[in-house]
Formats: sequence, C-alpha cells, structure tokens
Amino acid sequence: MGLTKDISRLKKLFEEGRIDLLIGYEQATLPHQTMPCFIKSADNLEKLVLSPFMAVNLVHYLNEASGKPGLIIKRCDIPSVIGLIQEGMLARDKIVLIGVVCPGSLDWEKLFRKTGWKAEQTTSVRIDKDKVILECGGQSKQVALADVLMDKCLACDRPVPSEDMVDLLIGDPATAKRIPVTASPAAERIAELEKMSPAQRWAFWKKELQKCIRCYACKNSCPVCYCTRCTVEINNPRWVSPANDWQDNVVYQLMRLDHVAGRCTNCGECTRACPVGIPLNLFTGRLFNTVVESFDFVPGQDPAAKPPTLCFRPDDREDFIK
Amino acid sequence: MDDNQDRWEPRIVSFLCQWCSYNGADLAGSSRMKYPANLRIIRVPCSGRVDPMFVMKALRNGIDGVLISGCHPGDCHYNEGNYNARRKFVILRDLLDFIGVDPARVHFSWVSASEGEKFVEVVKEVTEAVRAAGPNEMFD
Repeated sequence: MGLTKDISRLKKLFEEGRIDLLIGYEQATLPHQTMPCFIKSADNLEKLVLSPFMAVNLVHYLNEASGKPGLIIKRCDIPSVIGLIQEGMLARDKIVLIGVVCPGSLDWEKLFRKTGWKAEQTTSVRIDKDKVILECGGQSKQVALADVLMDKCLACDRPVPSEDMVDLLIGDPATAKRIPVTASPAAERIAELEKMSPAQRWAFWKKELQKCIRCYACKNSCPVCYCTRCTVEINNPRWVSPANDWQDNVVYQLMRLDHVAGRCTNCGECTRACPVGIPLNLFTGRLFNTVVESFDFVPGQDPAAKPPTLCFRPDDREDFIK
Repeated sequence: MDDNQDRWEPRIVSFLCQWCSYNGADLAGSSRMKYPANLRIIRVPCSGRVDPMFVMKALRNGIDGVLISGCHPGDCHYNEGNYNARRKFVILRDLLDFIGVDPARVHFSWVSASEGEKFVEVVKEVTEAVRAAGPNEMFD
C-alpha cells in the first residue's frame, strides 16, 4: 500500500540522525500476515509495508530498544506509549513516533471463516472502501469490511493519529477506516458478565482459563509489562505454580492483571496474542473501567499524570472497608 | 481443632497490621472478650505489606475467607502505607469480583489498637458472612 512517497521522509530521519532503528511492519509469507521488522539502515526501508494486517502492537519492543528508536504506530497503540511515559519507563523526546493512517485491522480468522477460503490459498487481500477483496488464483471474492474487522476496530472512531501526538504522519488519509462506528462488542459482553451471579462468572472464567496453555504470550506481548523478571519466573518463594492446572491459570491471570492495573490501556494485545482465544479483553476492559471510575485516572492519556497505584488521595473510596 | 467431623467451621486467614489491628486483637484477648475462633492471624508490618497475591494464594489453597485489617487512614505508622493499600484493595476486590469470587469471602477493615470491641464485632461479622458463603470449593 502506498508508502513510496513516504519512504523519502523516513530516509531523512535516518540521514538526520534522529533515529538509528525503525520498528515497523514487513510482509510475512502469507498475504494475511505482517511481522515486526527492525530496520537499522535507510537502505532497507523498502521492505516496510502498510497493510490491513498490522494488528501487532509494536510498543512492546520499545522496552528492549536502545539507541534512538523510531516506531511505526497506529492511533490505538499511542496510549501504550503514554502508559510507559507515565511509568517513567520511556522519555518522549528519546523516541520518534511515526503515526500511520489506519485502514482498520482485519481479523483473519473472521475473514477466512466468512469466505470459506483457506489462508494459504489466498494470494492477495485488500480493502476497497467498505469492502474487502480477496484473490485466489484467477478468482476473487468480496466481503463487507464491517464483517471482518477486528472487534476493537469496529468501535474505533479515530483511525488517524492527531498531529500533536506523533512526530510524523505517513500513509494516505484517503485510506483511513471510514465505516460507521458501532458499539464495542466487548463492552456488551462485559455488561452481560456483570449481570451474572458470582458463581456463573466463576464458571465462565473457569471454562475459559481451562484452555490456557501458559505460553505467557499475554504477558510477553503486553506493552506495559516491562519487568525484567516476572513473578511467574520466581521460584523462591514460588508465587504461581508453573503447572498449567486451571486453578493456577486463574491465579496467574489474576496476578498478571493485578500487576498491570493502572497502566493497562486496554489495547487488546493480550487477547490478540492468545493462541487459544481466551477473551482477556473482557477482563482488561473491566479493569480499565474500574481504574477510571475509582481513581479518576485514564491510563495512557496524560503523559504527565502520576500512575494511580503509585499515589493516593486521602479521600479515596473506602465504602468496602469496615 | 475446630474442623471436627460433624460440623463444618469456616477457616479464615487474617492479615493484621502490627501497629493497630494486631494490637486491637491483643486487647480483645487480654480483655477476655469472646470472638469466633475461626480466625488464623498473620501479623504483617503494615496493611501496605499485604500483596494481593497473599489473598489469591490463600483462596487457591482452599481458605474459606480472608480478612485484611490495618490502621485507620491518617494513623499509619509509616504515614501512607494504608492509603497505598487501600488503592490496591480496590483493584484486588474488583478483580476477584469479576472472576466470580463471592464478595462475602474477602473483607477489609480498619481497627486501631484501642478498638478491641470493634475487632470482636468485625470478626463476628466476617465469620458469619463466610459461614453463609459456605466451604470454599471454587478450586476443586
């Protein structure tokens, strides 16, 4: 997708010495996949792509980047960067943010379920206004964009980062997602869960967490999980059993959520990374709401704000304390 | 032992701050006040010492109820330990609620060193709530 005219602007960043590493997306083997790429020289900029499959939140890599990194970033991932700035893990002037015009990210599982085609047969996938066009050999198929977008993109109303949040904006504004915003499916499911009795909720999460294989993709992909050593890796004392019993999966997930409370921006990366499809976004969504309501703090919004778990107010709520 | 064969008795673990609630419990004891013997007391330096992991592990290991108690806001020996704890508890409580742990199992209170009577009241209330919630069979 049209990057050619932007390549020269990115090249300039290297030439001016503003960045010595560019983290972005490159095409993977199959058309419905991109993978993170790490470009260290302006000569390799050609492999950079913009695609409707830029689902990965690249902010996580900033935790490990040294030198002067530049990051290709979608609007929805910017709160993750601000979250790290709030935590004092990142300085805004040490990084260059290159915002992209986002066409919306396609959920390839929905895409192939909808078309009935296999991922490996498909030779190209592109978005044309409110349609997605797939090609396979000589054939082509069309599906409605709204049917195959990732859930979080359905509720997205700002596919273009505002100029003051990024150092540079690339991509063609005409390609931004332009279909009507619908209610977030996650918000509806959270409300459903909240209406259930505790026992019903427990049964729901027990069933979900039984699927967990403890691959730790949720914590490894999380942009705001930055500890060099995680509690799950500590074996003296052993806080969380490494066994993947559902009981310990519950403890592990509660621990992970507890540790990211106050900086989780509900970016959805853990859910996307989960190989067994546990709806962690319901939990992070609820956690996000609780932090906003209880501490009057929006994770990932104001870079100068103090994280809510590092401060307090004398009049914090304590209606639950006897 | 209170776990006799005929009648189930709730087992409750409590984390008491050593400056206030632990002394409140001590006062209740030395004043010969009666309160349910279902409590297992663990003394902690401050309610801020209570890692939410303590609660999750206790429940995971089959405890029926948890009580966390510390100094009243403003009375913390370390000035702000209980203020920080309070924020952690908001999150912990919310996580446990959303995953489906009965709120009757996890309790919080502020009890000062002079509040032996309040300690007795809190323990009675907590024990009854946990008794009503029944044995912790969540992790079976």
